[in-house]
Amino acid sequence: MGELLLAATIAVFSVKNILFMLFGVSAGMIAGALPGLTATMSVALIVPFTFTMDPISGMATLGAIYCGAIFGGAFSAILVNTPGTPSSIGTTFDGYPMAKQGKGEEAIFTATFASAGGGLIGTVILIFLSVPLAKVALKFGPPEYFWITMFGLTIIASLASKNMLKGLAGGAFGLLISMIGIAPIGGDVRFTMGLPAFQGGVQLISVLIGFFCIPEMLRIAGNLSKQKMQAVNVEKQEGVLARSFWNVFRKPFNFIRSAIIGAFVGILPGAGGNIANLVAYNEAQRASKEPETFGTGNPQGVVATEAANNATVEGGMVPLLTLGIPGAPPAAIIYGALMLQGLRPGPELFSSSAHITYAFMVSLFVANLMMFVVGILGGRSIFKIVTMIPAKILVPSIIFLTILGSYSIRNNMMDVIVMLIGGFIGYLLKELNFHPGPIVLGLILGPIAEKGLVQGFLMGLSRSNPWTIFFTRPISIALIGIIIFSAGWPVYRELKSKYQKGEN
Amino acid sequence: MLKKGGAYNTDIIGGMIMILSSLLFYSQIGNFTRFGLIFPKAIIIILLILGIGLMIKAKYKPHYADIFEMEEMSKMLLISAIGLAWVLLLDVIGFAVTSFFALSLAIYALEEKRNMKTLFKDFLIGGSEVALFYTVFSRLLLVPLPEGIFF
Repeated sequence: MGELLLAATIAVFSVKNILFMLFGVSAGMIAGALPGLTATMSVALIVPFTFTMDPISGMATLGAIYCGAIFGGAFSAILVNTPGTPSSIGTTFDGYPMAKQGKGEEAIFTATFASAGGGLIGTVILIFLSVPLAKVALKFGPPEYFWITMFGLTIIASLASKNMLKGLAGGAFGLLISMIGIAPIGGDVRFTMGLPAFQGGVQLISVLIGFFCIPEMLRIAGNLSKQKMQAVNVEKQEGVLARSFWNVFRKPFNFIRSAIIGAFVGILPGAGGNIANLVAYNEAQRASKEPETFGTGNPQGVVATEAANNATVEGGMVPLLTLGIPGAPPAAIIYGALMLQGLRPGPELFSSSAHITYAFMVSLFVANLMMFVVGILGGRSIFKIVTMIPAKILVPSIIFLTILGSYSIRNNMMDVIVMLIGGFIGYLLKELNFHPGPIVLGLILGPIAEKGLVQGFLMGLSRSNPWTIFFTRPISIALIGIIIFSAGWPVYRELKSKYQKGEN
Repeated sequence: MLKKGGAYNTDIIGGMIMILSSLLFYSQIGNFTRFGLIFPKAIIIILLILGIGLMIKAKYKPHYADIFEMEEMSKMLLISAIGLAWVLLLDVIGFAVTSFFALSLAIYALEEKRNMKTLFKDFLIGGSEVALFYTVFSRLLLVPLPEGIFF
C-alpha cells in the first residue's frame, strides 16, 4: 500500500492536476455558497468537462469540487443564515450569531480550519478502511452482489423515511428506466418504446444532470426574489487567524470526534452530510461543559458541524470505491464519472486500476489542504463573487451548461433530449413529493442488481431450488442481516419520533 | 379527493403515474428470453403494487400539497419553453447561434425590468458566455458541437 500511495502522490502532484484541483476547489466553494446550488449539482455540471481528461485529473477535479462545495455551504450559513448546502444546516446555529456579533471573519476561518481538518481525517479513514473492505468484496459472487445492491437500495429508507411508499415507488421507477436498452444477461433489446436511439440505454450522466439540475433551476426561475441574499457585513479583525486556529485545536476532542462521526455517518447509505452535521452538533453540545452557549455563537458548534460534513465526503467514498454502491447523490455522480472513464466502481478499482484509485484518494487529501489555503486567502472574496451573481444570469447559464454537458458526453442529441425530459419528469415528481434520490439510485443499481440476480439464478440451477443460493451462502446471510437493520432503523427512528410527538 | 382548498392530493397523482408507467413498461414486454424477463417482470409488478398502494393511501391518509406554487409561474414556464426550443433547434440551426439567442432571451425573460437597455446588455452577456464555452468545447476539448444551418 505504501508504494502505491507514494506513486499516487507523485501522479497527483503535477502542475496540471494542481491547477485543475485549484479550479475545482474554488468553483465548488462558489457553487456551495450559492443557496440552491447543491454539491450534487456542482459535481454533475463539471463531469462533462472531466471525461476528456485523463482519469486521475478528471477524478481529482471532481473530488476537489465536491470537497469545495460542501465547505462553501458554510459561507452562506454564516453570513446569510441560509445553508448553501443541506450539510451546513448546523453551521447556521452558531455561525450566524457569531457573524451578527461582528465575528463573521472568525466564524469563516474557524469553519475553514475545521472543514479542512475534518476532510483530512476523513481521507485517512477512507484510505485505511477501503483497502481491507475491498479485499472482502473480492470474495463476493453474483448472489452477494445482488444483496449488496439491495443494501444500496435501503438508502431509500433513509432518504424517504417520511414517505416510504413514494420512496419505494421512485426506486422501482428508477430500476425500470435502467432496464431500457440491452439486457445485461441474455442480450434482449428491451423497453425502447420503438426508438432506436434507446437501444444503447439511457445515458446515466444525462439523466443525473437532468434530475438534479433542471428541477432546481425551474424552481429558482419561478421564485427569483427569494434568491436575493442579504449578507451580514464582515469586518477585518486583528489576530483573527490565531483565534480561529485556537477555536478548533483548543478542544481537539470535539474536532476529532466530529470528524470521525462525519466519516462513519458518510459510510452509511443515505446518511450524508445533512445528517452528520446535526449528529456532530448534538454530540458537541452534549459533551460540552457549557451546553447553554450553543446556539448563541459558540465556535465549537461551527467546528463540530464543519468537521463532520467535510469528513462525510471521504466516508461516502468507502462504499462507492469498494463495493460500487454510491451512498449519497454526489457519490452517484462520481459513480457515473468513473464509468465514463472506463472504470468499474467496486473492488476491481483496487486491483486493475489501483494507481487511479489511490491517486483519487490522495487527491482528496490534497484538495482539503488546498481548500484550507483558498478559504483563508480568498474566502471573503469568494463570498463577494457569490453575492454578485444574480439568479437571472445563473439560471440560464446553468441550463446552458446542462445542455452542453449532456451533449458532449457522446455527441448525441438524444442524450440532451433525455436530460431535458428527465429534468421535467424530475420536477413533476419533486412537486408530487417524490425524492429524486431513490429514482437515481434505482437507475444506477438496476443493472448490477439484475446481473447479480440472473447470474446467481444460473449458478443455483444445479440445486433443486435455484433461489436457495441467495439465502444459504455465509456472506449473503450477513448481508441480509445488514439490509434488515439498514432498512428497519430509519423506519424505527421515524416511528419513535412520531410516537414521542404524539406523547407530547 | 383530488383537490382540497387549492392543494392537490399528491398520492393520487403519484399513484396514477406509477400505475401508468408500469402498464407502459408491461406493454413493451416482447419476446424476451427467460433471463431477460425475470427482473423487469418483478419490478413491473412491484411498481404496480406500489402505485395501487399510493392510491389506497390517497383515500385513507392523503398527502395534500400546493403543487406548482411559485411567485412567478410565467417565468418558470417561459424558461421551460426556451429550454425546450433550445434543445429542439440545436441540431437544426447550430449550437452557437441557437445558444446565443436562447441564452440571451432566457436572461432577458428573467429580468425585472425589460427594455432595450437590458435587452442589449443580456445579449452581450449571452454572446460572451456562448463564445467562451464554444471556444473551450470546440477548440480545446475538441467536442464536435452540432453545426446545423449556421454553426
